[in-house]
Amino acid sequence: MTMLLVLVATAISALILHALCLGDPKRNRAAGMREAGQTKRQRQVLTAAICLPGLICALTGDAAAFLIWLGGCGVIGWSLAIWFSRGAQERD
Amino acid sequence: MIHLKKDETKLMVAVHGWSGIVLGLLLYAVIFTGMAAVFAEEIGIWSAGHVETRSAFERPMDGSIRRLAAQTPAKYHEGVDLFEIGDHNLGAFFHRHETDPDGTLVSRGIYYQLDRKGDVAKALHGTGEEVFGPRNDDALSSFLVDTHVRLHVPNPWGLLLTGIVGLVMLVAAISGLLIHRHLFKDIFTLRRSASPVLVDRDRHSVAGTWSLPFAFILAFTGSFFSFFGTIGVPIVAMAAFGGDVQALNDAVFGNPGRPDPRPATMGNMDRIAADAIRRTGEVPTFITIENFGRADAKVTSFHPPKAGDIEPVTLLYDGAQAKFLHTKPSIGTQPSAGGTLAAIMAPMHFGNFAGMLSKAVWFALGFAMCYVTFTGLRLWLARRREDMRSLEWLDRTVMVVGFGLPFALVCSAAAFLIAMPLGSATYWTPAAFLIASGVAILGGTTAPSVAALGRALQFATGLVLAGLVPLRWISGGPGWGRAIEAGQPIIAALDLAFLLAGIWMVWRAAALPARRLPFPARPVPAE
Amino acid sequence: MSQSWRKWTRILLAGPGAVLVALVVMAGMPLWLPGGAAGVDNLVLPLVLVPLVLVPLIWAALFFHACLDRRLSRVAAIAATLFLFHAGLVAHKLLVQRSAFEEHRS
Repeated sequence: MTMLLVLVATAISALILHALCLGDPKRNRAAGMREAGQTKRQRQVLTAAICLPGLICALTGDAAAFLIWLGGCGVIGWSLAIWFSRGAQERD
Repeated sequence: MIHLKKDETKLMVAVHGWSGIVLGLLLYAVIFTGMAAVFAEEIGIWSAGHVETRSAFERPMDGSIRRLAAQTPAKYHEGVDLFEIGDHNLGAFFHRHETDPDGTLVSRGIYYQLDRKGDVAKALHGTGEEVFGPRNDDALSSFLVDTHVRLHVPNPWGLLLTGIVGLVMLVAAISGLLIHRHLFKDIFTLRRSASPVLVDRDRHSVAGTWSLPFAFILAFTGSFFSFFGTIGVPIVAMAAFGGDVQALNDAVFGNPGRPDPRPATMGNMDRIAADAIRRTGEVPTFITIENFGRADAKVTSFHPPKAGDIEPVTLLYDGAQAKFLHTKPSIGTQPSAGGTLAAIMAPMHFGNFAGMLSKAVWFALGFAMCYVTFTGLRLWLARRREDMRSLEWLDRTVMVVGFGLPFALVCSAAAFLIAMPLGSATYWTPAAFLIASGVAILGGTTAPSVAALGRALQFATGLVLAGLVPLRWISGGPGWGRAIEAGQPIIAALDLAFLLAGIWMVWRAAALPARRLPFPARPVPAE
Repeated sequence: MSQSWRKWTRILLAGPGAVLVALVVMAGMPLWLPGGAAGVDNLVLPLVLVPLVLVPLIWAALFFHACLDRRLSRVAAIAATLFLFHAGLVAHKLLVQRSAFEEHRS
């Protein structure tokens, strides 16, 4: 596993996850925000884009990188959900 | 996401809820200790103050092994297991395989624990089950791992119990997936100012969704490990090898070839170890010698996986000539899909295939899964608020286990640090755990409210956690300067982590409100 | 079939039934997996482990099938077929082994 491969793959997915989180329509509604959020089509494209770095790790045969990417995305996604819900609480 | 019919959904909700509540507390204990056990090796180094970085396999061991063989009865030369113990010292188990009167296959022999200089510090006689217990300097990491693997219940019942707990987790993960209609739509939504049921539900389902693939992998690999020896091997041995477990063992792990019992001097083990390190670029984690002192002696060295792989690397040597033969698959005698599948179960469960990075990810996912289990239990209770009076005991029990378990574990760590220099760590580490558990249970019965109980336990845990650092220094553990100089920055890193985590927990507990928000009189129906 | 009868049949099939069938499938699978019937063979042996590895998943599949399939008769039929097929294989193997042992003795 090249450390570089897994860090770059996870970083790219993390950035897109961040965008996905900020544009999540249900999250925005629950937090009382005015922005409608992304459309279904946009979210599908972003989700596909998140999976791309992982797919590349898998296709290069780097099982270790793939597993770390998958786990990393899970941890980062959950952390983003928690972090951006704290903001909503403070606004309330 | 998956749209089941109404009554199917209702059944899955019942399966999910009841599988969770019946064994949920045990599941939480297994997952929590598993999460901590990811760093068992590092915790062992930190707690015992190990500063040696060179492996025992990088230092001369050939002389020691020959001396031990000379003083060991020849009947125990059938197998020699070599591994590291303590601060990179050598452990050697000379043994043979026997069948006990009750039919179980055991390894019986002599387990030598060597010190830095290669002299015998201790020699224990008996079966593998009997001799491989915790030692003074690894009592804390042993305690953690043993709690996780079998909840300290004797074999085979402990393994069967954790195996069943693993299956329950598998059922909960799959049923959770089936009942959650809007998995991706809800994935970032954590409502904070809604009813307690919705708040708990969001917490539970968001954490559960993000950790779902790993919940599945860990439940499945975990139950495999628990059932493998207790049920799997006897049944498959019966069906495919006429009940001969030794034959199954030899077939799967052994080396084929014609037996040649003529005596022959063993080749130089240092040469073998050096060659193995050169070929793989990694120090062995384990070395076994079959038929020590015979012409057909074989030496197998096990190494961490190559970069990018998760399956460990195994090298085979001719023992008498100290000559490299070939790389072999971890399981079986030739590479195969089945062998690879079995061999990747361990790295997928332990997360130790890529050093600290993979361990850190597995630890974080373990934390997420603890959170899912705990919030699931709280959600189950929140939905039944109407019956709360009769379920108050369960609400308190969940809080006692949820926050009492980490409290008891940090107390056992503190006891370890005090007792290890005195040589009584194997007694005081579990004893302190039991005493702290007793305190938590007492708190559970006397606390004015569940929220106050939670706050008090979090506060106490944070205090003890942060206190571990000065305690380690006071009890004679290496300081940061010495640790880093010796090439063990992990000691300083864990000190820092415990200090920060402890202070954060104390601060957070102090800031929590003493009373819960008022809740509705009737439970909110499931969505 | 009354509701109560159906409920208990489903519980039996999903509970002890799924455990029993999974264990019997695990015991019998090495005997039909490619190369399994040949007995002790270099390529075969790792395949002995495949059923061991898969047994939690086999059990889970049986459990959820028993819970979710509307037709109980189908659940019972699939469980019975799997059970009889694999139990048959194991019984056959044990009988062959026993007669080989007796032949060797005489």
